[in-house]
Amino acid sequence: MSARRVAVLWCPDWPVMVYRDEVPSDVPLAVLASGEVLACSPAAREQGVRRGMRRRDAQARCPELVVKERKLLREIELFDHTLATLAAHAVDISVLRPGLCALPVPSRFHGGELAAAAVMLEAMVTAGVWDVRCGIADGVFAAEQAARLVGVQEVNIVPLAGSADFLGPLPVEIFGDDDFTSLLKRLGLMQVSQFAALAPADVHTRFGTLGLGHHRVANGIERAWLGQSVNPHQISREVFFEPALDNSETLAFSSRALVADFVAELVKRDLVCTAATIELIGERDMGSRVWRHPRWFSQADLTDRIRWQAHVWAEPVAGVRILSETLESAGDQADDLFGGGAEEAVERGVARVQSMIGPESVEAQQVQGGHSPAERRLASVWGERAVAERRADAPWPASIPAPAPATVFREPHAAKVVGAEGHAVAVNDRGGLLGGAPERVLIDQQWHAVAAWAGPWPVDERWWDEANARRVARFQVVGVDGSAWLMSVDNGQWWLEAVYD
Amino acid sequence: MSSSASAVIADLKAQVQRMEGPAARWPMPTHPVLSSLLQLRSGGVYQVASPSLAMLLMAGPSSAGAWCAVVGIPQFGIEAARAIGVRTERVVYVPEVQADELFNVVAALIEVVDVVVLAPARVTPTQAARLVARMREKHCLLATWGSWPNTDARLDWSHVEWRGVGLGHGNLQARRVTLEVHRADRRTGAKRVWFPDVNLVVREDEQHSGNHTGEGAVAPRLRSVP
Repeated sequence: MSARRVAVLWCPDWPVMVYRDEVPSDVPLAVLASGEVLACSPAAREQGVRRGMRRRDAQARCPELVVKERKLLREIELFDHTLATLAAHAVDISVLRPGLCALPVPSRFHGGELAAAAVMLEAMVTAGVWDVRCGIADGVFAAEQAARLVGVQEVNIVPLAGSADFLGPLPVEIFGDDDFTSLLKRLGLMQVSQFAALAPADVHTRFGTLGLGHHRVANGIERAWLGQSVNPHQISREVFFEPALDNSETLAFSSRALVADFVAELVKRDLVCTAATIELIGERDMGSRVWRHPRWFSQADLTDRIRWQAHVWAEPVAGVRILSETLESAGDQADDLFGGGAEEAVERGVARVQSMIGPESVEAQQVQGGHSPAERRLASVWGERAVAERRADAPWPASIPAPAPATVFREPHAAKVVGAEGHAVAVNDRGGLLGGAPERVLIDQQWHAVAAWAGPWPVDERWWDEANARRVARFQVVGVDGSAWLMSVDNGQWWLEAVYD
Repeated sequence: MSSSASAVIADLKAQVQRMEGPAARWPMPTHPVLSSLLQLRSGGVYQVASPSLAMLLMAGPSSAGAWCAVVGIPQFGIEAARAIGVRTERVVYVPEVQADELFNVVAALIEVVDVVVLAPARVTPTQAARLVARMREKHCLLATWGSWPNTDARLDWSHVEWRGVGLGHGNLQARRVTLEVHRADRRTGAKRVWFPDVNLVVREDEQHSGNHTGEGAVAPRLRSVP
């Protein structure tokens, strides 16, 4: 079977295109979505307007800027209209989003890929779109990146099996997932090739299924063409209730048909949904939340999420809408389907516990960077992606050396430490002890005699911020019975942070 | 047709169960330091005197890929657990549970995980018996940090001795303890172990390997090491 290749056509600034008849092309124009610049015309870009700017900042850069609100429906309509011309030359055109589409490159087109791309570009120009760029590669993602790197009406061809080499030197931002890329950058992974070089098992452990998906793409392992069975458009299903339901259990029950319909659509398209938005429509308000699943959503999972969300929302619900956020091919998940029976059972069992006592009551934990043992614990709601605040592999000066304590309090307990004379022990500015060496400690209303102690390890947290600077010093204290404690003193107050028990 | 088929299956299952007798108690992977004193078995209830001992118990099954759940212990130190060999990515944490929900939560977890670690909790003997019966069927193991109506064994330590810390210098580096196993209020085994040694490995203390009482092994409890 010959390898199938994908072409991606990209028309930059599509939101601006819909205003081409209203606003002359030499007038700077910006299109806003939720108060931020979504796209701008070349004239506006020359004046320094950039995507993501707030309205006022953009107008400050360019006072004569014409500002318009986004018209999504019009964008879709116009793009479909444009593609009608292209459809005369190609089949299986998939709209990835307005302004961006993908289509298979005919394998035996006379003149090869370059000639095929020229025909496509010409069709787009005939339809009135002057700024269009084309990328060709083994997969949709690589082809889109290729299209983004070339000039107007140019073609960028990534050779067969060359996706990994092509993507390697690009910055990790191309994944377009802010949480994920900022995490990669904090881990020191700036280029796609650095991320691609990691072992898949490590990637899976650290970044989950989504990260593994990105990792496959980074290594050029992308399904060449998803064919017509996959429509990249979002799947959405909704249901309305009359009168509104105010009980989350009733709501969950009444939403079962909706959920079944949603999942049936996924199955029909051979897809799995790993992130979904659930919108609860009230009489006055709408509550929306994105839920992620470490594997993918089953019917029961989605019903649970609706119930949980309704439970906290506490307002009568007149309608429910489910939108797929991340869809993955079921084939890519096949390893998990066959190899991960135990994990699936665990996910289901844990979801049952979350239904009983609330989703936030069940956690997954990891180790992250930090000075104190409590800071080094990274707890996240089970099933949601944890994002570390601090790097674990960076050096943490003044952190407490191993072994780690088995008990690490989430909130430290108040304690007292006194010297031989019975005076409270304190620490001066330079880390010296006032009040003598520790002789006795009061922990949980009980006095213990001290046999040995070590410290202080001074930790000037937030030393750069004069007003909030805290002088914290930590001590390890051993009692005569072999109990050992990690304690800290903060402006004269002693705390018990952890126990070596 | 289908209803009669399912009736036949149910009948066959019941027959198989009668022939097999009560659910077998499988041996579970046990940490090397512990294995000479105690072989963990599925369906077992083991009482531990401290969180470190609960981690020692978890380490065997967890390093072999078992799923664990830690219930009611918000202060569970994940770094210490990892150091002793617990695969913390396969641990489900339920930090806080209301007393009236505890039974249901533990019952649900038994269905899917292999080891449940439970904080001091109040369960009635009836509830305990029901949980244990289910645990045997699902080949799950319970480590309880606190009292439990009927336990297989109790794990404790004594003669705790720290290395590396003096009066105002050094830091905690290594700990030696006498690991004890009690059954029915009787000490049935003990040995001197590093928990952990200076390389953070939990292992038997060779110097005292012949001495299982631990009593004669009482070195100065604390020694300052410059």
